[in-house]
Amino acid sequence: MSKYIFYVVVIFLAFSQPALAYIDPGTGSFVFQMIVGAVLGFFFIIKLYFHKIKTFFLKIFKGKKHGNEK
Amino acid sequence: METKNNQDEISASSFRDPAGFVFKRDGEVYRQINKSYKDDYELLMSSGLYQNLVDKQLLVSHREERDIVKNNDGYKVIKPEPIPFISYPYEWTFSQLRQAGLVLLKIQKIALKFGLSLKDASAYNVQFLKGKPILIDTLSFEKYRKGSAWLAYRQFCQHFLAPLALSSKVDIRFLQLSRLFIDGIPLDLASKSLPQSTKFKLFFLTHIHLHAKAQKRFSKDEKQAKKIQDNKRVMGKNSLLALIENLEKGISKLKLKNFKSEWKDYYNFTNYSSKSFAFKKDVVIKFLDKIQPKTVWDLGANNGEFSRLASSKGILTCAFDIDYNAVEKNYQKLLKDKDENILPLFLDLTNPSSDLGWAHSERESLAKRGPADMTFALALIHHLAISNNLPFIKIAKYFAKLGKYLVIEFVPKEDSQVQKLLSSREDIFSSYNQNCFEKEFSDYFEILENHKVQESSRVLYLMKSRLA
Repeated sequence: MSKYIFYVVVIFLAFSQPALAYIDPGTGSFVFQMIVGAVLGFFFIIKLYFHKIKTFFLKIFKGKKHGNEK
Repeated sequence: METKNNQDEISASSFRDPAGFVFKRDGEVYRQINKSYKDDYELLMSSGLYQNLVDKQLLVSHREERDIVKNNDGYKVIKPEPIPFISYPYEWTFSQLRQAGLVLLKIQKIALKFGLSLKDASAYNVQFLKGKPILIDTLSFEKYRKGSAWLAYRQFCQHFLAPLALSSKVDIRFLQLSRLFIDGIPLDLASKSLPQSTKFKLFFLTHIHLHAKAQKRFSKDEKQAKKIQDNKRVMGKNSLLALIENLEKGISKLKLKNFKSEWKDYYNFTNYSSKSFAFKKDVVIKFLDKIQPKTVWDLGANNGEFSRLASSKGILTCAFDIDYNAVEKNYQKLLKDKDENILPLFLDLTNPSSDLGWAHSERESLAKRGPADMTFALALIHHLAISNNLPFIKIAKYFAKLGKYLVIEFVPKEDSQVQKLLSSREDIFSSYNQNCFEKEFSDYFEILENHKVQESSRVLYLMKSRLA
C-alpha cells in the first residue's frame, strides 16, 4: 500500500509549490499532505455533490408526498 | 520615536520567527513587528480577520503603541493583552491539549476564509486565558497563496496529534514526552510507539504512520527534495480545507481510556469528618481574606476543591497536581462552571518543570514564573517528606521561593494517611514531628498563624516567606 502511495507522490511532485517558510515544513510532510489533501478533497467534493443530489431528490420526494397529502 | 532601549529584555523564546519578537519594558510585555512582516500584519488587520478572531476569543487582542519603535528593523510595536500565567503543553492534561489543537484548526479555517493562513502551529503559541485556549502569537498569519499547502502541517502533527494519539491509545503519561522533545514528538517515534491496531484506522494510518514514512523516504532523497523546491504547482483550497477538517474530526473523536488513580476518590477516603473538612475550608478562606493575594498556586490541588476557594474570589489560581485524572477532572469542572480564574495543570513537585530549550531559556521553570502571592500545600507535606524522603528544610527552602505566603497543613505521623505511606516501609523518619516541622520551616518562613483542625490531628499554618 505504502509503495503505491509513493508512486503517486512522485507523480504529484510535478504539481507542488516551493515551500518558503521560517519553520521547516519538512519535505516529506509537505508532499505527503498534498496527496492526503487531494484524496480528502476528492471525497469532500463527492460528499458535497452527493449531498446536493440527495437534497434534490428528497425535495422532489417530499414535495410529491406533501402534494398527495393535500 | 525612541530607539533601542538597553533596559529592554527580549524574550528568550522569541528568536525563531523573523517577523518580530517579544520584549519586556518596565514589566510590560510588548511585541515588535518587523518591516519584513508589514504586509502580512496589515492584511491581518484590514481583512477583518483580527477582529473576527478577537470577537470569538480565539486570538489575543492588542493595541498599537505609536510612540515605541524598538529598533531599525521595527515597523510597529503592539501591546498584547497580558497573559497572567504562561503554561506549557507538557503541563496540560489531555483535554487541554486537544482543545488547544482544535482552536488552532478552527483559526486556520477562519483565516483561509479571510485569505490568510497560519504559518506555524506551535503548541507554545496557545495559552489559557480566562479558562479558554487562545492564540497569543499575532504574527502567526501570512497571506494565503493560491495553491499553497499548509506549511505548519508537520508541526501540528508533532505538537498536537502525536501526543494526543499516544496518550489516548497507549498511556496518558506520554503527554510528558513533550518536555523531552521541544519541537513536538517525532512522528517516527509516535508511529513506533502506537499499537499496531492504529494502522487499521485511516486517521492514524494517514497522519502518523504514512506521514512518518513519507518523512523518512524524502529525507534521504535530496534530488526529490530539490524537485519539490523547483516546481510551482498547486494544492487546491478544497484539499486544504478537507485536510484541516479531517484533522479536526479525528482529534475531536480522540478520548482518554478509562484509567484509575489513587487520588480520584481521595476525599472519600481521608480521615476527615465533614466538620473538620468545613473547618479547614473556613481557615483557608480566613487566610485568603487576610492576605488578599492576586495569584495562588495550589501545589497539590487534587481536583481543585480548595483551589476554588481562591478562584471563586476572583483570584487567578493555578491548581497543580501530579495525577492526570485529577487535573482532567478539574478541567472538566471548570468548563462546566465556566470558571475563568482557575487553571488546572500537571506538576510532579518532586521533579518540577525546569528551564528548557536553547541556552536553558526558551521555556521557564516553575520557580521563574513565580513567585505567586500565595501557595497552598494542603495534605502534601507527608508525600514529600515520607514518600520522597525530603527533609523539611529542603521543602521549606523551595516553597519559600515559590510564593510570598504559604498555607501549609502539617499531617502528623499518627494520621491514617501517613500510616498508609509507612505501612510498606521502614520508619526512618524520627524527625517527622510538629516541633521539627516548625523549627525547620522557621528558617525560611515567619509563622503568622496556626490552627488545629477540628476532629483531626492535623494543623494549618499561615507563613510568610523570608525569600520571595
